[in-house]
Amino acid sequence: MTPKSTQRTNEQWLEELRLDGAAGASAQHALRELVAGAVRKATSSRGALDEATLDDLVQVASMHVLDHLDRFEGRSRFTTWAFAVAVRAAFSELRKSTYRSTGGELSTSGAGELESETPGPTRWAEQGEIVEIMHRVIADDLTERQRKAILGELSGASQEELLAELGINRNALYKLVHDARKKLKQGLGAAGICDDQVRGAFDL
Amino acid sequence: MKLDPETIRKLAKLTLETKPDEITCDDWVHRVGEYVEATERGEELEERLRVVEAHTVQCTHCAEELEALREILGE
Repeated sequence: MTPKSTQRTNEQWLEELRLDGAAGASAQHALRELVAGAVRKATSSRGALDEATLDDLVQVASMHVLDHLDRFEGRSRFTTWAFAVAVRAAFSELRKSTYRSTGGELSTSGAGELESETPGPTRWAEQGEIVEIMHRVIADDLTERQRKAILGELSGASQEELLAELGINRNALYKLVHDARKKLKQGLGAAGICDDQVRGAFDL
Repeated sequence: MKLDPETIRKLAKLTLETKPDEITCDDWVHRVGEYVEATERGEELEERLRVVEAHTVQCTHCAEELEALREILGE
């Protein structure tokens, strides 16, 4: 980290990173140094990565920050925002790489289908009404894609698997699952089940 | 697919914590820095940052990225 990189204000970062020539190159170099340190620290707990992989991640992450400068609103330190964007880019690359190395096989053969489980005799039975409503909403009220998305997540499928399966991006997947959760909440409400009852039934 | 009791419990929890308006992963990443700095200072969170917290509860990947960000910042 150069002394100048620590002294730049948010405004200076934005201005200099957008410059052509030596001034822009200097700021971009300083950013890359910061991103490199951040990526190394963030990935240190994700198994040993070789230098070439780390270099690739730093490159992708740095470019991602530069490509999204317009999204920085100045509400935090520039470097904090840049680290968040860099981590997103680096982790997304690592997740894709892990997914590709598994051959892109879905680990959730049952995702998208639903089989009711009969409530048992004890505590499970006490939750029976809520469970029945949730099963009904999943089976009847969710669209096929919402069902596939939420059941896939619940079954432990990786996000990359679901994105590939559904052919959508991360934002769209989140929205599908969010819409599914909203329908579940509405279904419980329509059946007269309040939040406290759900909390009580499941010790939440 | 069989929803076992533990999965149903997890789904019930996520359903309870569902808000009408939740931000996407894309909006989250551009606000999380502000969120981390505000929590570092112990500030009461504005609505625009409370939704960051709500999203983190629902999204395991964003939660993982928040943990990494805090590690980078030395929290």
